[in-house]
Amino acid sequence: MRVLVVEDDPLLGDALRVGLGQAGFAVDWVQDGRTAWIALRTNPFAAVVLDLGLPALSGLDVLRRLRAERNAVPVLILTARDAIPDRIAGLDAGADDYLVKPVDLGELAARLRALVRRSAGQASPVLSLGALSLDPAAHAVRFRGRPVELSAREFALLHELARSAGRVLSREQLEQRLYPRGEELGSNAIEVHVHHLRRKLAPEVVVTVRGVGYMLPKEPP
Amino acid sequence: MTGGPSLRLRLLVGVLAAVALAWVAVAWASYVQSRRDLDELFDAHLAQSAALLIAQLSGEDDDELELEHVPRLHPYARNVAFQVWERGKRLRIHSRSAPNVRLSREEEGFSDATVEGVDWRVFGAWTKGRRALVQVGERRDAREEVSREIVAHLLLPLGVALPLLGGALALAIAQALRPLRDLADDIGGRDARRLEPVAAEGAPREVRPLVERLNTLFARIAESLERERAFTADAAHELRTPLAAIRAQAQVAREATGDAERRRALGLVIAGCDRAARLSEQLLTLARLDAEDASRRFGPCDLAEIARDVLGELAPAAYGRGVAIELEATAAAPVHAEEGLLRVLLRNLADNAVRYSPAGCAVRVRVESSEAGAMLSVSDEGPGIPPPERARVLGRFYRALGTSEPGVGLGLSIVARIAALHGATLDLGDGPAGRGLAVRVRFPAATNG
Repeated sequence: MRVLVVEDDPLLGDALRVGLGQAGFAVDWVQDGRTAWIALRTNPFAAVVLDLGLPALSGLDVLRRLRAERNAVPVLILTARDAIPDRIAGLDAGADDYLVKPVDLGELAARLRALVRRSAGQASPVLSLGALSLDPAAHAVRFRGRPVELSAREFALLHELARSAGRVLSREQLEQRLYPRGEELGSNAIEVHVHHLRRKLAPEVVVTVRGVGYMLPKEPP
Repeated sequence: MTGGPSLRLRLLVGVLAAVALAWVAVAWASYVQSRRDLDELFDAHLAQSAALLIAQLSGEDDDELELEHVPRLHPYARNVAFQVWERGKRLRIHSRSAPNVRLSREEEGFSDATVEGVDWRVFGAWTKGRRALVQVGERRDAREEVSREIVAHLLLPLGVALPLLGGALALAIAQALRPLRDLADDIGGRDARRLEPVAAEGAPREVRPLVERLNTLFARIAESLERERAFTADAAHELRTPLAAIRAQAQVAREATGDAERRRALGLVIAGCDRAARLSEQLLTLARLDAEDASRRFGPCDLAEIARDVLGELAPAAYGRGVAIELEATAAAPVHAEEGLLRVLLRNLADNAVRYSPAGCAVRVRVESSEAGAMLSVSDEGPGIPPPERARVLGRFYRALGTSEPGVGLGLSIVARIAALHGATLDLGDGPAGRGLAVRVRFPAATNG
C-alpha cells in the first residue's frame, strides 16, 4: 500500500518513511504542502499522513483542496498541535484521523490500515476471498486452510489485488499503487511477483487479462 | 494606602481656608470702614454736644446747670464727659465721668488727649466773649468697643457657617469622587488575567484620561501576555517534533533487520537529541533575554575583535562543509554593549549563513565604524529569503522552505532581540551579487557615558 507522508521535519520524516516501510507500506515522503498537493493529484495513494505546520501550503489547505476536488483518500493528521479546537478544525476540514506527536509507529501503521480498510467499506480487518484470507496487520496469508509464506513485495502485490478484487488492474496502476516515486524497478517487476504468487498459491489465483492487466477473482477457486 | 495627602482633605481644607480668608478680609474692610464712619459720626456728636452746652451757658447767667439728666442718657453717653472752665482756668461744672484736670490742652476744635491713662477724643470751644471754655470728650475705648462689636457681629456667623460649610463640602466632594472610588474598586477587584478595558463612558471628564491611559496599558499588557502565552505554546509544540522524531527513529532502530539500517537509525536518534538540546538551549537564551535587563552589564566592546574571535571558532566547521568565511574589519569598531550577547548575536548570524550556504560559497562578514556608529553585516550566497517573508523570519519558529538543515527557527529571533536590547537596528537585504541574504545590524555610536 502506498502512503504519502507530508512532514517538513527531516528527522521525523525520515523516521516515518523508514518505519512505515518496515510495517509494509510503500512510503512517499514530501516536505511541503505544495509538493504534497502535486503528488496527491498525480498518484494513487492509499492514505496520507499529513503534518499541519508546513511551509508553502499549510496542511489544512492541502486537505481542503483535496476534499474540494472530491478526492476521498483517507487522511491522518499527525501534528504537534493538541488543542481541542485544532483537532476539531482538522477533522472538520476532512481529516479521517488525528494523532498528536510523538506517536508510536505501530499505532500509526495500525490506524493507517484501519483507515484504508474503512475507506474500502470493509468491516473485518482480515480480507477473505473464497479460499484466500489475508491479514494486513500480521502480514499473514492463508490459502485453502494453510498458511503461506510471502515476501513483503509479494504480500503487497497480493494485498493490492485483493483490495480491488473482481477488477482488472494494469501493470502501470499496480506500479503506481505499490512503489514510491524514485524507487528503482525492473521493467518486469510486477510479472516476476505475479509469477511467484502463482507458484506459492495456485496458478489460477491471479488471472491475466492479456493486453490489459491482472485480476484477483472475488471467489478464487 | 499611604502616600500623598488625601484629595478630599486637600479640597476641603483649601475651600474652607479660601472661604474663611475671604470672610475675614470682608470683616476687616468693614471694620476699617466702620471705624472711619464712626469717627465722623462721634466727632459730629461731640461738636453738637459742645454747641448745646455753649448755647445753654450763653443763654442765662445763672451758674447752675441741670445735670440730673446725665446718668439717664444712652449707655454711650456715659462715655461722654464735659467740663466747663470759667475763663479757661477754673473748673466750674463737669460731668461725673469727667476728670478734674483739663481734658485737652487744645482749647478749640478736635484733639486727642490722654488723661490719667485714659485716651480721650476731645472737642473744645469758647462761649461768647470767652467767658467759659467748654470741653466735651469721649473715651476712645468706647469707640473701639463699638467697632469690635461690629466686627464680632460679622465674624460670629463665620464660626457657625464654617463647620456647616465644611460638612456640606465633605459630602459633595465624597459624591464627586465616587467615580474614582468605583474605578479603584473595579480595578482592585480584578485578577491578573482580567485585562478587559474599564468602561470610559460613565467616567467624569477629569477621570476619563486616566481611564483611557489605563485601558491602553491593559491592552498592551494583554498583548504581551498573549505573546508570551503563544510563545510558550509554540515552544512546547516545537519540542514535540524532535521528540517525535527521536522516538520514531528509535523504533525504526528496534525493528531494523539489517545492521546498517539500525546504525543509521541510531545515528539519527543522536542527531534528534542534539537538535532537541539545541532548541532548549535557544529557548533558554531567549527566555533569559526576555527576562533580564542586560543594559546593566553594558560596557565598551570592540565589535571587530569579537567578530574575529567568533568567526575563528566557526571557521573549522564551515571549512568542513566547503564554505569559506571571510572577515573584513580594518579598524576597531567600538560599541557600548554586553560582550556575551554580542557573541551570541554574531554566532547565530554566521552560523545561519554557513548552514544555508551551498558548498563552494563564501560567507562574508564586514565590520565598519563611522561617526554614526558601528555596522555589522553578514552575507551569504545561499537561497536567500524572498522580501515578503523577511518580516516573518524575525518572528519565532520560522524555518525556510525546503531546508534540510536542522535549525529550530529561533536564531534570528534571538538576533533581533539582542539587537533591540542594544538599540541596534536590524535589516535583511539581498546578498552582494543580488543573491543570498545579507543581514545588517547597525549599532548606535558608543557614547563615553
